[in-house]
Amino acid sequence: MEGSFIGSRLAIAITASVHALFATFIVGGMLLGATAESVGVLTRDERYERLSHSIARTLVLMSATVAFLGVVLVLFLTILWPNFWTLLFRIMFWPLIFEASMFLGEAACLYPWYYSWGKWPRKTHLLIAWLGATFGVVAMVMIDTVGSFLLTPRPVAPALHRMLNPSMVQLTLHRFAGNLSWFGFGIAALSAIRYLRTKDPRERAYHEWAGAFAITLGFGFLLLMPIIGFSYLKAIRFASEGAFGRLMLGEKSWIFVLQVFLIDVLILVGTWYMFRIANFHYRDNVYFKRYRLITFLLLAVAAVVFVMPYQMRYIPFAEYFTSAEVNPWGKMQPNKYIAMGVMIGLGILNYGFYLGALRFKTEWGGGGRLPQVLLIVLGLFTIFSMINMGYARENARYPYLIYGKMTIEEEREIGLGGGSREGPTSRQENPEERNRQAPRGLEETRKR
Amino acid sequence: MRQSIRDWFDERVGLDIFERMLQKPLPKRGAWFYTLGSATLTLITLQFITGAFLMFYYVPDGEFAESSIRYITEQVRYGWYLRSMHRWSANLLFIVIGLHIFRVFVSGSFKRPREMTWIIGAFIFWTVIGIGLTGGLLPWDSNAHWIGTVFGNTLSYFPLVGRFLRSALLGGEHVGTLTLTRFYALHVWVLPLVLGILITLHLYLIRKHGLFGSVIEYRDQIRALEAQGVRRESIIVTKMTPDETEPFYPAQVFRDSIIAFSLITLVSLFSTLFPFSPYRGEEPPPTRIIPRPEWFFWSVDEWLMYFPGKLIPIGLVLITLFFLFLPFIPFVERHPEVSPIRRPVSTIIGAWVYLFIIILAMMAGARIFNY
Repeated sequence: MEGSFIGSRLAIAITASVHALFATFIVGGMLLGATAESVGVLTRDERYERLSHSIARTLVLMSATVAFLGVVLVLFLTILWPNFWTLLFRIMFWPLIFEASMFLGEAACLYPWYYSWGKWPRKTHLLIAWLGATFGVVAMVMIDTVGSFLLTPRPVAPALHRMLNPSMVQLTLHRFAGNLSWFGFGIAALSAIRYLRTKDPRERAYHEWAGAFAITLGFGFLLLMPIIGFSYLKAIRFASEGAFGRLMLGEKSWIFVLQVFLIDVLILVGTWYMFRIANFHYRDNVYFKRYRLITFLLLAVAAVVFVMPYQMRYIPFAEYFTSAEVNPWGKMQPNKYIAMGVMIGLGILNYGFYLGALRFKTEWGGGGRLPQVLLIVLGLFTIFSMINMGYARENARYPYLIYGKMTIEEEREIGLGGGSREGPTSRQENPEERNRQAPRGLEETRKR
Repeated sequence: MRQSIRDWFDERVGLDIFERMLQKPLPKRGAWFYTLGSATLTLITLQFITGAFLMFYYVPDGEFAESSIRYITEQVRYGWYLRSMHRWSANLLFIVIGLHIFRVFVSGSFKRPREMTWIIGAFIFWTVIGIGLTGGLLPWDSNAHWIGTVFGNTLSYFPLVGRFLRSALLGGEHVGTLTLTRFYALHVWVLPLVLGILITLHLYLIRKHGLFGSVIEYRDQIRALEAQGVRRESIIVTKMTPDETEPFYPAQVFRDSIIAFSLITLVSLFSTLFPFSPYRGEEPPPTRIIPRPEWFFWSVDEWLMYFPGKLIPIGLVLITLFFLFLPFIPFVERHPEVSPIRRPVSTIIGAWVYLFIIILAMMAGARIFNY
């Protein structure tokens, strides 16, 4: 029975992760597609038109997958975790219904948007694109209401408090920026792959330009993520302290360290790419070369400080490198804040230099393979980062399914995933117990 | 008869100046966006009028301030309405002024020869913030007391001059009657006077240079000159083709009137439906009061939350630098291009800044809601 219970968790986790990955891509895609088409109309630049058209095609292909995965997820929840799903659906009936309706609206706009290309009047076409994007954002807000409630619930009544729970706004903003960043990096990676596969100079020029344009969004929104994330974590800390402790200092803190590492990589690789593309403009500037070197050094130091874990014992394989259970330098605060500030500050500055150089770039297609490889790396790390962050958020509240209200053991009582009639042990019942630091070497810690 | 009255005035005050003003050309395209300036002026005027009426009854004394507010709200005929009009128009003013600054920035209206118009506009923005800040203390209830305390403490974190600033503004280490009188003097006398002077200068410069700096002003001329081989940096164009413009009167006056009327109606409607009252249910005991800043300071509040402990001075200095930077924008972006599409760096950075401010405000709002 234990095996089937773990199997149910695994099935739901995988389906939810993949569904979320595609769904967020679509929300970001509708927004960026509508923006690209609008910019194309304003500038009469055909490249924007082509970009928005290919975005529309990608989204049409993906929306069916998202719908399928969504249905599978609901099916799994209904069959495997009926207790939890019934409770959640009763509490969040209207947001869930509204979310499904908004997704329907988004799909109803997406298909005409793609299939009426060049047939409908331009204003109608733009209107349908923006309408679809709006539906997508509203659907995201609705599902964030549900998702945030699971981690930081408030009393069910009144409805406004239930919906505007302590982490709802932060999660929505975090996902909004995250979706656009993820889509930007995703499209940049796809453009890079196309660039590497084609030999046609005109095609290469377009794909290099598309990658550079997508990065302006991907990297720009990436810079917002740690700032919003900081506020999000603070909201979790005040509302669900046990979950915060588990994620930041407890046994799952290694996931968060991994997330910080991924953000470090994205900022460093993104900066490298931007410098490569902007090089043509600043090539003869001696001061800029020095600045570039100093920037990389500072970013590297800041990245190391930012990623330093406190609970060494929970970092996988750390025992091969150190015997320390906690970081001998302590929690390194406020140095970590300063490191984060340095990374964001330099990121904004470099972003400005990049945009400044793009204004003068007229020749595309001859940038070589390295920048395109960097874009692919960025795309892959973004996928990894999205999945990891979702995993971290959903695991933070363990052993609760709804923090402080319903444990996973209560689901085991009824659901097909389990069947054990034994009550939860004290460690499973109390999250503070689970997060209590255990000395390394104990068999229990090894198992974990 | 009408002509003779006109001539009488024309001889003495020079009506032709006003006539020339009314004939100033404006772009036809995007004309509704140009009503944001007059909308700001409408709301500021509403502030002056309602504020003057409130001054008739308000007592700036630590002992009587709160009771005088209650008196205005409960005893004075339509006092609640006037007070609500004052508060609601202040709230709307911050939204409208924010949109106005964004419009001016995006349409490049701050560029040569309108640098001084922008600089004075930035000073107006600072003054409005000052008026909003000082006004928050005047209700003299528990929340106002905490606003003063938090503001004073925040100021004291400023490197070198922090303690002096706090002492100068609060009239000591803590909030007291001296704080109230100082904030009152700043709110009803010093800052409005400064604001009046600045608005006069701003309007004069707008009339001198015209209030537009739109995309179409430069676009065709720049293209034509570039085609002749002239470098973009050296192009200065200040005129539009006549068919792209229309006189200020009557079309723009009509639009401005529509917006002004709509705003006054909106403020009046809000004041009637959601009046501000000193009673918000049972007032909690002082130990349970949670200080809540006005919503237009939420982004600043949230920003400072990112700088815990010893890092607060860094946050304060950064935000001060941001505000101090505003008047210098015309000297940083000097090329004559005004189209937001053709100056993507400025447009993207401007959009980012606004997005960031909105995000900070939303996060602060969520935090305050869930206290």
